[in-house]
Formats: sequence, structure tokens, C-alpha cells
Amino acid sequence: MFGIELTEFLLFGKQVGIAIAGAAALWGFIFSQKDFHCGGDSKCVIYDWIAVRLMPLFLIGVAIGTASYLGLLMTVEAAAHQGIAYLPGTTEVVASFPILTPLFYVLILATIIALSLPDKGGDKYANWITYFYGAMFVVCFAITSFPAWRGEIDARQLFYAGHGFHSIFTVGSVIVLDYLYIMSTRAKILKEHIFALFPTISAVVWFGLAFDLLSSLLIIEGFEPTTKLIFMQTVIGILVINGAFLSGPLARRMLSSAKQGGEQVVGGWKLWANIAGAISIVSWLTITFVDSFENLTFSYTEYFAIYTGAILLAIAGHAFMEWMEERTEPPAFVHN
Amino acid sequence: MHSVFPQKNIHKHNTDVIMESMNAISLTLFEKILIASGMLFFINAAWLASGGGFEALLYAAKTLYLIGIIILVTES
Repeated sequence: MFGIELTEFLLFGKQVGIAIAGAAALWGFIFSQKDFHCGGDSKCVIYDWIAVRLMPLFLIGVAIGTASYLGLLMTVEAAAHQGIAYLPGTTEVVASFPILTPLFYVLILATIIALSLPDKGGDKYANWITYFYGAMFVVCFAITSFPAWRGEIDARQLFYAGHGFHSIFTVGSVIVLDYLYIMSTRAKILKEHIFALFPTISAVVWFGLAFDLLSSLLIIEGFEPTTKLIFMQTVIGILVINGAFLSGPLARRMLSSAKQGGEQVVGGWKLWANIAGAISIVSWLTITFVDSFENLTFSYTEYFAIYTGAILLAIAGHAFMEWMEERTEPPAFVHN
Repeated sequence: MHSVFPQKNIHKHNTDVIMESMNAISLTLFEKILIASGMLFFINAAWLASGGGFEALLYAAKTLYLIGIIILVTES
């Protein structure tokens, strides 16, 4: 249907799932690691709380990634499909299974251990989770770096790696950023701590895109000026311009409002932040999705109509989640 | 007859608000370069759609973006 093949769909699921898990692990590690530098300060509690609250997002990513990988193992037959311009062929995808299967075992086993440990609100768990997130980031990075295996490290294999792991720093980190933003609406003290890391997260997203652009230079001859490519160039343009405003003026406004004595963010700014956040997430997901399918049959108008519809849905969904979160009980350490 | 509104203060207040908004949407060099790069991706898409070539504009957009990243490093 619409030129979507099952194998491509499962590869997309694996890529997005592990990118979310990897990004949740990366930023969970960074928040959790902050407590080693603040001694007996009360901030430690907040950083640890944020790190532990990233676990549901990590689990969602692991579930999507693992289910997709299992689907691949069960359905893909080697040499069934070949001749793609720059996506890996099925033979190369199957050749990566001996590398990926042990990594998935480690990921699943460690996740089960993390879920079965008692006293998840305690200090011991908060300290342990730092190492857990650190190790899981490495595992997810390795999984996304091997979407396919050509049997040798050549320019195309390096492209596969760069084109794979950048998802942790781009689409995964953008989703984590939005998740944290929504979670921060529970209390001002959370905003203060979470917003402080936004410039770093934004910089990592920009670097992630730079990795992808650099890796694509390795196979420039593989591109063909198709409708899909023209649409992707449009979305990249939107994504970069929107990102400049989101990580620039909008983020600066959010940061100043979160500081002690800072002015409350008023309706207009909040609306723009929601719109820009939704455009950012939908654009990254669109690029990852469209990039995963070689023979999509949409016209440019159809691509753009679906993309615009998804943005409108995301804005509504985002506003609803924020509304829900504002009504959620703040954590116990919040007294204001 | 004196106005009940302190006109001078209102004027000052409005100016402050406008200036504050202007400052709020001011862009750093990195952000300006990123926007220029994004515009080049748009132009490239339009150029491709009208049957034009591919490499030159794409390289220009990517190069500009990478220059922006270098500036981001030096700005921070």
C-alpha cells in the first residue's frame, strides 16, 4: 500500500524505537550524572527524579525497537530484494543480524533487571541508573550504527553508520526534549532545572544533523531528484529554519521565564513554542519515515497534505498533554 | 485639563515592550546562518522541481549549515 513494504516498515520501527531508547538513555545519563557534582544539595533530588522519569520513554523505545527487530527476524529472507539507490539491500540487512541479536539480548536483559529492582524512588536506584543509562546509550548507539553490514568498512558502510546513529541525537533527542518540556509544566522548579539543559540538547540535535549531512556526502552519487527527495529537501528547509527559532529566541524566552523572579511565559509565546515544538517533532519523524521507504507513491501535494495534517494533529495533541500535565500532582519535593 | 493617564509613562512602557520583543526575537550569527541554509534547501527543492541541477545548491546548503555548526562551537 502506497509503496510501503513490510521490511521497510519494520526497519523504520527499529530505527525510531532504538533512537528514542538511546536518546532517553543519553539524557537520562546526563541528568542522573549531574548529582555527582552537587553533594548534599537538594538539586540532586530533582535531577535524579527527572532521570528516573525518563524511564517510561526508554521502555517505549525498547518495546518498539525490539518488536520491530523480532518482526524482521521472522519475516526477512536474504536476497529477496535488491537494487536500492542508497538504502541498504535486504542481503546487507540480514548480514547485520549476527551483530544486532547479541546487542538486543543485552538491551532486553538489562531493561528487565532495571524493571525488577526494588525501591525505584531510593538513592541506590538513582545512583545505579546512571551506569544503566550510560551502558544502554552505548548499546543503542551500536545498534543504530549497524542498520546493515556490507562485510567491509567502506564509504557506504560509514554512510550507513552515520545515517543510523544520528537518529539518537536528532529525532530521539527532539522527542526527549518535548517529553521533558511537557513534564516540566508540573512545577516551576522543574522548569528551572530542565530548561537549563535545553541549549545543550539543541546543540546536540544540530550536531546530529551535521553528522547526517556529512555522511550523505559519502554517497552523493546515489541521490536521484525524485518527488520524494524534493519533498525531503523542503522538510529539511522547514526543519532547519523552525529549529533556529525554536532553539534561539523561543528557548531564550523560556529560559528567562524559568529563572528565579523571571516573568511568566504569556499565551502568545506559549502558543509559538507549542507550534514550533510540534513542527520540529513531525518534521524529524517525517524525514525518518520517508527516508525508510524506497518506493512511496505519493505526489508532492499528497506528501505535503499528510505532513501538514500531522503537524496540526501534533499541535492539538501537544496542547492536550500539556493541559493534562499541568493538572498532575507535582513531585513530593516541590513545595512552591 | 490634565489627562488621567500618565501619557509619558505609557509611551515609555510601550517602547519598552516593543524593544523587549525586538530583543527577544533577535538572532545570533549562528541562527542567521542556519536560516540562510534552510532557505537554500527550499531553493534547491524548487530548482529540482523545475528540472534544474542538483549538486551545487545542495552542497552550498550543506556547507552553509556546517559553517553554522563551526560558529555555534565558537559562539558558545
